[in-house]
Amino acid sequence: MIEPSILINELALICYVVAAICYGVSLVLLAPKAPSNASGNTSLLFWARVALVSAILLQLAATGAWCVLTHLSPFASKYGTLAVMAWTLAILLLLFDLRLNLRALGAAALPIIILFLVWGLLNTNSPLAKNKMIETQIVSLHVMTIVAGIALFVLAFACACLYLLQNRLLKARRVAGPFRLLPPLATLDRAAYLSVAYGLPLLTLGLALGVAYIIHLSTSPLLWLEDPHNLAAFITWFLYAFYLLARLAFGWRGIRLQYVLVAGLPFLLILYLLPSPTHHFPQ
Amino acid sequence: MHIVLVGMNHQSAPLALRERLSYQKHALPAAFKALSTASSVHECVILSTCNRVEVYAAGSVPPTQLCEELIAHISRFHNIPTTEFASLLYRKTEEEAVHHLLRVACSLDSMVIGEAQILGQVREALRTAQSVGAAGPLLSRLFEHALTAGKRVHTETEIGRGGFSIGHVAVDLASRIFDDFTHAQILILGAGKMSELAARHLIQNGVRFVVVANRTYERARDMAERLGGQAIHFEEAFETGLVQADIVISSTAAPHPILRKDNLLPIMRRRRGKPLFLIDIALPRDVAEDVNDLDNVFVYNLDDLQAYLNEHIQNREAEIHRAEAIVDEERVRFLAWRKTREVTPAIGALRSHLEQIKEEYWQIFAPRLAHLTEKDRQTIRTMMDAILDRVAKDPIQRLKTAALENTSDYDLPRALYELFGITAAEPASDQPTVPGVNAAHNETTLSVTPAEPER
Repeated sequence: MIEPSILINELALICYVVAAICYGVSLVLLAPKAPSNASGNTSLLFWARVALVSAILLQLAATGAWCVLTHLSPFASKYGTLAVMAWTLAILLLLFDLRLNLRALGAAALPIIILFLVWGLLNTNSPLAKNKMIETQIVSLHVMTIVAGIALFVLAFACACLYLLQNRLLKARRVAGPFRLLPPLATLDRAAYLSVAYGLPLLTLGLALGVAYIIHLSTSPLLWLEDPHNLAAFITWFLYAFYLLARLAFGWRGIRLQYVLVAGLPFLLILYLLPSPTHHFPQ
Repeated sequence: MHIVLVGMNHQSAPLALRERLSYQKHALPAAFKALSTASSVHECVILSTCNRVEVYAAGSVPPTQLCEELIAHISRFHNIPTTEFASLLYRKTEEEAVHHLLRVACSLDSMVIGEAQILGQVREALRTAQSVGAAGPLLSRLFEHALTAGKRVHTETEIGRGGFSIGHVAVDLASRIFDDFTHAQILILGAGKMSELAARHLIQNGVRFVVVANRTYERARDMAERLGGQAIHFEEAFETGLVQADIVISSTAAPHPILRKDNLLPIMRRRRGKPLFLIDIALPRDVAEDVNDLDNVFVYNLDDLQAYLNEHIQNREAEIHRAEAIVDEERVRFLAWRKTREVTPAIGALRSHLEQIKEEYWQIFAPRLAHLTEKDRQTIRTMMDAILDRVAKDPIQRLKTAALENTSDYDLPRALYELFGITAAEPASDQPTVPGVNAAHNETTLSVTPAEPER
């Protein structure tokens, strides 16, 4: 029943791969030889963006096809959730690329997008949660905000990785070779900060909606707290809250804050990978 | 006389060794005095910059011996055993040395190819050597040719335009750290010319906040006025300047690193991880090597800038070829001058001989011309001068041509002496002397009394 959606997502995957190759090649292999010409190869960058936009539109079509064919929210399946996660990430990446000219972020984040989409496509046979619980607006909003928040944190992670790479190259004085077009540390720092600054309120809203739903269900809060999934979500929240606090209140900058962002990823992965007794929607 | 060069540059020796062998400006007179004790060194110029230490000398002994004497001097003067640096020195003689100096002055041998500072440094080296009488006619002329070549390269080629200087490199590297220069603050430690140039470039790229710190506050104030910045006392740089700055350009004359891990660590704590870009263009270095180990600190010294510029050099091949052609032209001109200089004593001797004849005959005939008016007597003397000039013209011209082109099978200067019966002041063939001041100079070793160079 969901074959058209899968097919369109597979096409989107091809576009993502093309975009990743174009971003990566334009960043590393076709970096200009002369230091004064830092713009590098722009035609490849253009095609990278075309491929990325195409993939986003294809994923929009795939998600639409899913909704029409199943009459369910895309979050009713693991496939749909992961596909939406990839799509959200791609939209954010495009915004960052156009706003901050972060082609390096394209090269770093697109593999993660591809990973999410491939993961989703490998789970097309996962059971559908045909439960009324998932159809409630509060749960839909909860999932959407959490997914958007996590997507932003993934971008922050990609920015932090690029920051660490650029920092390492600058320390080793290897700035003339490949990776010439890595963005300045300040740009990466700002992009990571913006990701967290927008991601944390979304995560907060998502968690708040989740807590509100628990209260609405009148179940024991202890049951929810015992779930490692939820625990990871709260630890993630504290980690990114600490990042924002350190940056905004204490004026921290530099490499240590990037380590915080890199450390955040394992908790994000736990949110997805660990089995959750409470985030389970019976058939 | 032979011309030799002994030296090392950014390509042949590491920065640490160049630092140890560099000649501080105030130590140059002592260095020239020390060289004057070497009997075979007749002329000498020392070129000591951030990227090179070169000693040019002219002497009458074989070039190999001259080179060894220079190396021995360097070892003695800096109190460093020869074994520690001799293998990293280059030794160039005669045309090779001439060619090297011309390339240096044209900034073809510079770390930053096309940069203009080296021309001033070559000029300064010549002036310093002339002021203590170390640069005689030969090296003075060589350096003047080098300066001419340098000027021509900068005016006739594009090598210095749109090219890279320390300022360009500073901007390019800083743009890997900062994305908006309008909010970046530069701190200049040491009010040197190089740091001012680098700062100017950063200002052209948007930097608005400039702070200058110098041990002499007045110099800091002057530079700050020129750059539209603010001057602070040197001590303030460590209290507040380094805490607020984003980019630090350091070029003090301190003999030891002034920015070390131990004094930067508390500053970095106060900065709370804000990146600090340190450009160290001082020699000896102002920033200790281990400072780069500190988080969020990026240190680039002269050697690092060289590495960065290597690929830049490849992109300027065409202009470099044009500059090399100018170097060759000036080299040929200098060598031509040098060859004609070999016959200068003979020409001088011929002129003196003819002058002597003229005077002899004037003494004989002057009494018989006593009835003439002074004006007529003067006319006769002028006519005698003209005749003698005409007589001398062809032999002199042929002597010069033969020297330049090596066309004669004969030793023409000797033939001249024999044909005209000139016996006085016949020079040795390998030690040309210029009559007058030059002859005197060739017979003595270096003195520390000022001598006017030959123009």
